[in-house]
Amino acid sequence: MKKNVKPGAAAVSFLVLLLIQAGNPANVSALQTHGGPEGLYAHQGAHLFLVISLVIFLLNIRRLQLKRYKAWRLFSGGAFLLAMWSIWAFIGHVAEIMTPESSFVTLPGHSVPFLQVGSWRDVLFYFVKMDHLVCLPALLFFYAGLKKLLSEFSENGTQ
Amino acid sequence: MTLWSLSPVWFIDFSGSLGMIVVSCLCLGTARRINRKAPEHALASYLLWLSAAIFAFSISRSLGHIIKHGLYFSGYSDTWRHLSPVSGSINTLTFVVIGAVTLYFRQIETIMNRMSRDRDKITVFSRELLELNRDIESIVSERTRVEMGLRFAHEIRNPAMIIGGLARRMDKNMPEESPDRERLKQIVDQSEKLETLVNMLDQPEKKSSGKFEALELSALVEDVITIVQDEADRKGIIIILDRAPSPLTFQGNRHLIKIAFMHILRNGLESCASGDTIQVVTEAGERTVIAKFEDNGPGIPQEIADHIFDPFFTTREGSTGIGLPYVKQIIEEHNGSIVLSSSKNTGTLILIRLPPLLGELSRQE
Ligand SMILES: Nc1ncnc2c1ncn2[C@@H]1O[C@H](COP(=O)(O)OP(=O)(O)O)[C@@H](O)[C@H]1O
Ligand SMILES: [Mg+2]
Repeated sequence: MKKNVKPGAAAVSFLVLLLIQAGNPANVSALQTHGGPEGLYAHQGAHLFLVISLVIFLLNIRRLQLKRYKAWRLFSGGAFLLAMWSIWAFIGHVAEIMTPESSFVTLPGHSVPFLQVGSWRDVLFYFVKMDHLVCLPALLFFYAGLKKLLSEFSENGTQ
Repeated sequence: MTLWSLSPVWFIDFSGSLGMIVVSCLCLGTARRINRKAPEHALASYLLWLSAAIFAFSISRSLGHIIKHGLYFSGYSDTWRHLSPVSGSINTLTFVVIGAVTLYFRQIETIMNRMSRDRDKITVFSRELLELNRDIESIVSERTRVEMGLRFAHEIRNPAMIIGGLARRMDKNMPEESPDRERLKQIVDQSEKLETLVNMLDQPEKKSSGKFEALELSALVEDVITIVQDEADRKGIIIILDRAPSPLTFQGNRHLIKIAFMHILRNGLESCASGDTIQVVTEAGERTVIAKFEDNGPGIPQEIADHIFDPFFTTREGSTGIGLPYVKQIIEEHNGSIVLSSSKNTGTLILIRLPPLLGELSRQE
């Protein structure tokens, strides 16, 4: 691995890119002029790719019997939840498409819209939109695993 | 038909997004601290990459959601229609990055396995080195004892001889009835004992075989080749082992023999150039086991080859020239022989013969 490539820097430039894009709507519309489905297909494909790679990651952890270590138990918990989330979000996008604009109503005196729940599909949409209930715990697992590793690295020096 | 307020959904979405940003920052910070603790550790840098990917994902997705809510409440919902595909695309990229990084885990595993294998190798080598050191020490102390005995014998021989000779002469010339005769006889007897003792000390001491054990020549040669293989690969020199089909057992000190073979192979590696070959053959000779080391390197000119087993003779700058004499000493310590034949441009052949383990030989016959 090249030493001069800093993942932190890479992440920050990603963030900067995002901010520039977000603050510059003219540029945005230049980039995305038509709302074709290919963007969504790519997005859904990425969700599936993420699930597959996380499953492979989990299988590798199991094959190497890394579950003996607490940090790896936490990492695999995080990977499992993140995979669940990815499926969850995949379903969410499908529900989004299936739910017409007309299902949302704004009532006077309420700033947040309401959802007309008429079928299982609407119920699904309602719950599936709360995906942070899965992905935030996934990140917390990952964070706990890192914490555990950090304390182990501190104890054993650079072993 | 019922109406469900989206407030809980939006609340979870908004606070969850903030939470994602906070936790992913914490992850990245922790991964950086791990990396600082163990900068060379493959796993540490892998986790840093994974954390960075998760960080990019969280920031991109959460900022998108927060901006969406912000725009809604400030009445710019339409702007979100433009922003949404951008945010979505960036999110797409970040999923792919996380997926790619998690897939890379297999690679990390390979690297870590290789590292732990190397660590095991180093442990084995250092243990062997320690044992070798102990063996050399015991050989040196054995030598010192023998040498002291020899010196002692040398110093004492002359006085003992003189006393004995004089006493015998006096004994011959002394009249039969002399009262001192009995005492003189005792002096002669004792000095004879002294002379025997001196002669005993003077005898070359039998080789100690305390550290000797039954060894298998081909396996030993193979071990040594494994040790120098990396060096050979780096230099582009090919080492070929042609091992005898049946085991070649002999009596010896594992470490010393390994050292001797290693010296020979090292010399070959130091002399040969990329593309050259060192061929190592083990075979059974007539009442010997044989190890042949043959290279097609530059060879040794006759005038140098004549002195090659003389201590401190070297053609290499900064070298001790103690290699081959030491090798010869080790082989002779094992009652073996070493012959070098070489000429310029044809390469070098070193032939080592060692006496086989007699019990083994008779069992095979
Ligand atoms: N395989 C070889 N091919 C060519 N020259 C050799 C070979 N082995 C030994 N020599 C020559 O013999 C010399 C003495 O070797 P050695 O006793 O091992 O001492 P050193 O390696 O310390 O110089 C070397 O300097 C080198 O010139
Ligand atoms: Mg040498």
